[in-house]
Amino acid sequence: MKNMSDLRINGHGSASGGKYDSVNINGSGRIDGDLDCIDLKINGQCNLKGNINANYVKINGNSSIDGNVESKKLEINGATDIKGSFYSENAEIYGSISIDGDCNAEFLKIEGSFKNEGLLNADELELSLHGSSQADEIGGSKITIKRKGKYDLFGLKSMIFAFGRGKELITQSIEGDEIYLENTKAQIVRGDTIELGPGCEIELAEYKNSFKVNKDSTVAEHKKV
Amino acid sequence: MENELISKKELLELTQISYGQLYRWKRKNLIPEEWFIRKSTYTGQETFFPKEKIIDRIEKIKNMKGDISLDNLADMLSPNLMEITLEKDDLLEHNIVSKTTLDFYTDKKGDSKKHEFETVLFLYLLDKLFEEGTINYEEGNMILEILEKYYSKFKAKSCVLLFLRKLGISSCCLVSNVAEIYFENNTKIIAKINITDLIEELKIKIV
Repeated sequence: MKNMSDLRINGHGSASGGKYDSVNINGSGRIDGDLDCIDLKINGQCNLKGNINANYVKINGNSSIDGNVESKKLEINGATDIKGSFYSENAEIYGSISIDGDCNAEFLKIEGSFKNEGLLNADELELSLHGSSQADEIGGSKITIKRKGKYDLFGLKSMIFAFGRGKELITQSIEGDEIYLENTKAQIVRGDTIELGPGCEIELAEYKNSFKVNKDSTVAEHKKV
Repeated sequence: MENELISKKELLELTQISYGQLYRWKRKNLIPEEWFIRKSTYTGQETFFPKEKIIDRIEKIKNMKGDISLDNLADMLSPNLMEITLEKDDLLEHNIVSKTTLDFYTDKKGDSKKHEFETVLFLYLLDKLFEEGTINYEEGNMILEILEKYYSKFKAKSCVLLFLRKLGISSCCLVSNVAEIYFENNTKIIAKINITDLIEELKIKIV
């Protein structure tokens, strides 16, 4: 593993992928094959055609990845499009992300919006919704979904309903141990403890220990199992 | 039927695990992706599992997780071969392969002090069959040949060995797990061995 070279693109360029120590892309780049590296940093725009396996990934700007992503730590500021599936031990995403496959993480924090066609599976999931988000299924142990903005604390509820409409999460099912939701539309929510903040529309909630619901949320049916 | 399904909810109740644990194990690949079967029910999409397999797997995980880390556990439960070689003496000492089977192998392939995991797996399988008395040495040779020639094609995929006999003539084949297979009446399936399960068994014995 020693003496691996670095890859650096400044300006406009493309490379064929391969094994590197660190990869830096500033400007606009394209990687045509699989990328295996320790650090991957992208500032600007990048189009990665293969799979990515890296220790640390940081993306500032706009990028699209056609394959799978696997990393220990991942940070995204901006917009990212992943066609494959995604695994990271620790991921923080500020901006928008779309993942066509499954999304797996031990710790996942998203501020912004996301779209996930598969299963969103994270041990600890923190979502702050800035725009409308979508996931097929969500599972994990601690799941917190909040609408960004603290206007409701100051009693400006009307503002929430005026602006909060688009800031919602739509999903089929959410399953976890500790669940807190705001502005979420789901068919089924299952968990040990479930707390619903404002703006939720849930068809069925099943809980083991406790269930709380805000008066601005609707739950068609809830039962203790 | 071995294809009986259990819903996720029933599973959690039965095994006393939480959603968090189930999803964690899924992330670590302790539970194979293909066991998650999506089906439509009146409450929408639900996930089901092959009942026997999943309960067995969860008991295994629960029993072993105190002793080794989840990542190591994932290695053990995966159908991948381990990249180790074992000493001949160790095999005998830990009762993994009997002396007769080892001698049988030595006869065919010559003596060697060390064996690859793959070879050990084949010997382990043969040993089982010899012990049960289902096959004789000549047939053992046939099985060893097919394994050495074709097993590598299955790589991490599941693989079943079928050993057949028709009117005293024996034959064998390797199939991947999903296939349904039927034979005419005169052909008897003498042995059906799931090699993936065998790998798991063997890994536990070695560790």
